[in-house]
Amino acid sequence: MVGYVLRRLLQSVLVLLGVSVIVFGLLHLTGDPTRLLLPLEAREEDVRQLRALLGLDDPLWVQYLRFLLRAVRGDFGVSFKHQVPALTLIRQTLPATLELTAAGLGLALVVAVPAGIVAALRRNSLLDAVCSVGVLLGQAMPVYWLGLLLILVFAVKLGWFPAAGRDGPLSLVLPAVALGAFSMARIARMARSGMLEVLAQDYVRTARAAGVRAFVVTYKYALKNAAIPLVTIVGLEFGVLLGGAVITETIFAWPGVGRLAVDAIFSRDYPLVQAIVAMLATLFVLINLIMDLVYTYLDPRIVFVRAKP
Amino acid sequence: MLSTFRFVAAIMAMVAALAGGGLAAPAEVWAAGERDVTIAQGIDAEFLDVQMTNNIVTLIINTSIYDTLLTRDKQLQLVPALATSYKLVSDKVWEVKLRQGVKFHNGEPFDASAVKFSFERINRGDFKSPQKGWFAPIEAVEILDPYTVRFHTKVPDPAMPARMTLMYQLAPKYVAQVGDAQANLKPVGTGPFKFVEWTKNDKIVVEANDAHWSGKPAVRRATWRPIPELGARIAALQTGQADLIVNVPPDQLQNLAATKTVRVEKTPSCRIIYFGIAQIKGGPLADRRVRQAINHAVDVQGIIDSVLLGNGKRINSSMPPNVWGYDPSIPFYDYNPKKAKELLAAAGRTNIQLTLQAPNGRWAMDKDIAQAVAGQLTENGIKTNVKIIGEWGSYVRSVLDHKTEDIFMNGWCLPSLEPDHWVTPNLHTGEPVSQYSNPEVDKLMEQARAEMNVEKRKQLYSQLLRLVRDDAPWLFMYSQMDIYGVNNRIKWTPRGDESIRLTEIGF
Repeated sequence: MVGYVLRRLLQSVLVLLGVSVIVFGLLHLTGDPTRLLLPLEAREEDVRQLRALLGLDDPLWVQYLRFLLRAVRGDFGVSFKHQVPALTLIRQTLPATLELTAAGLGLALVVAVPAGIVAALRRNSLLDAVCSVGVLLGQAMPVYWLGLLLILVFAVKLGWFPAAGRDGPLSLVLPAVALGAFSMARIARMARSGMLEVLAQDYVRTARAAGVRAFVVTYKYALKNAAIPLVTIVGLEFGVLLGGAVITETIFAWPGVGRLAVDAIFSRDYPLVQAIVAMLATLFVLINLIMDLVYTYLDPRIVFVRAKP
Repeated sequence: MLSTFRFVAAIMAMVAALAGGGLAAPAEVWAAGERDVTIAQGIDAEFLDVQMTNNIVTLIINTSIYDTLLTRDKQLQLVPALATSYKLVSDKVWEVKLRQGVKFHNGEPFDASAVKFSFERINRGDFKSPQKGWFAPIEAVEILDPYTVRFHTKVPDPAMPARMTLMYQLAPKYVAQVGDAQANLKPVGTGPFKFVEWTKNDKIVVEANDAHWSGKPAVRRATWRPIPELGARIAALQTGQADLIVNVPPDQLQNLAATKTVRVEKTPSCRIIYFGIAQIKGGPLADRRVRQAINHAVDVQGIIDSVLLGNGKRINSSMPPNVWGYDPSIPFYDYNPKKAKELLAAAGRTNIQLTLQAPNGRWAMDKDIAQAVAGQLTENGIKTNVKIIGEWGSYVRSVLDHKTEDIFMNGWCLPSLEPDHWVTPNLHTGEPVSQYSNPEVDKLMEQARAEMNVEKRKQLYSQLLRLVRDDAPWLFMYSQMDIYGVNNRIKWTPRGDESIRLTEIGF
């Protein structure tokens, strides 16, 4: 087990290294940021001076190594645009994003898992049909459209929630719903199909035949087994949600890391983009690692052994 | 919860008023929040160290915290601020008297040393200020006494008063003590509002500085909120979450009119929109007749009326009406497809094909305007394709690298409102934005920007603008209409320089 975790951690480091190379390369392909940092009427000499100040005159590999050596010490450099350490900016904005992502995912799970189970248990009923339509809508609605619709109905018409910003728990509701809707649909579908599969298994039939109460069959035998694919999905969804937060945060003026990332990309703020990507990638890798470990709890038969050649 | 609190506070205010003096109006007892405003713009401030930015939104926010030496009133005329008067001692020396008894928010006194410090800080080699260019003609600041300074310029510079409207004053001891980084996070100025808090991408809060030299502001507390998405910004206004929002596009005016608690305010802005014609590329565009034909082939007023629903004001040359130097007697190009065809025929360019580039979402309805222009050009014998470059960074690069398509859309406004800043950067040979070269125009610009006699200077600009109009380096379009959504509980009208002054808000 410990060996497995260590091995996975090592793999994660390789993944992150790969991510850093790709991001670094892509960013530098987009071109010189100095033009965007200076006013349109700035002279060529100002541009040259700033480029030297930012260290952009050095060869690319020197810049990459410098980035890497600093990054391992937790120093991602100073944001070109904000002139503040990139990590400070992330520290300020990450809590808002995690709060939104957790709320979106939490909401998705709370609604989707019971809905999926009910739909599976009452297969082909009206309830199942309603759930299917819900899933279809959830997956088909683009988040920006849903977001604006929610604002129009629940903020402007009904006045229940604020339209934008991060001011207390009420302001979290609309962005969380907008963000969670897509995942909700996917999780509900997975929960339904997972349950259906398990319910068709022999041991469920046997348990029923043996007279075990329906409640116990459903929740103790079936659900725990149906949960394994769900765990995988939840891990992946977390990544999807972190990505989706970019749009949701922009629509709802949520002060998170997604909006910071968009601004940073548009202004070619290399250090900030690199820091944000590194941080999100680390988060994503860690969560997937944790999810893998959760499997062993759910299904003790899953053991981590080195594959024999 | 909040409304309950407001209600209780209102009752208390009323009781206090009755107890205090019967029918006398409650002098300064307001319910919580009653004198507070929230302003929503599209982006957050980049810096609260005002010398680190040239971004208009950032400057607007900073103007509530910092004062400048001179400023502009509602009619955009120069008026005293931290400087009470200025005079020209010789062609290259300006003497400025400073306001006495002014204190920074931290209690530090404002005097000549602050002026010298603030100027020299911008030019510090390791200080990455994008404002260096604004003050490039200034050689040095000399302190005569604690309330008198002299600016020595490298060349005669009639734009000095305009530059003084951009000289934001920082507290020297405070900045030295806390350092540049901290001065940005906890700004200290002499302005009408004191900094309270800044949550990145969420809000900036300032509160009234009752000791301000211009008197107590009516607004007690103001919150600047960045709400990037237009729909959410409008919703925030409609729900009362915001009292003032910026950049309402013309097609949303009807939507806003449906909400009874809000109104629309608009004013022609200093920002002009034009289509540059890349003369330096050579080919047909080097021929003045072709450029004139382009101007005759587009029904600018028709486009303003149909695409912008009337929200724009035609420009006759390269300056908007609210910038000093504008000459209203210069005629517009008339929409005359026949004349356009004749000009093309005379130039022997009856069969040309052009590409026009425009951004998407930078200026109100930019893409639609570009398409309408290209459509009319094509219809009138100048076949024009549209290339939309959505990413602003790439767009800027094409302009600055002088690699634009044949025609490029551009918008222009600088906070100085100095006439030279509308012509030199856009039209002088070799300037980053200019895709045009005409020695005659260059000479006039150089003359005008060094002419110290006001009347002569005005004449030079008139001559210059007329020459530019006739040589047609641009397809002259319009000055943009700035449209705001305002909650009816506040009294406010917009300014022509895109700025929002909290001190101009009443209730």
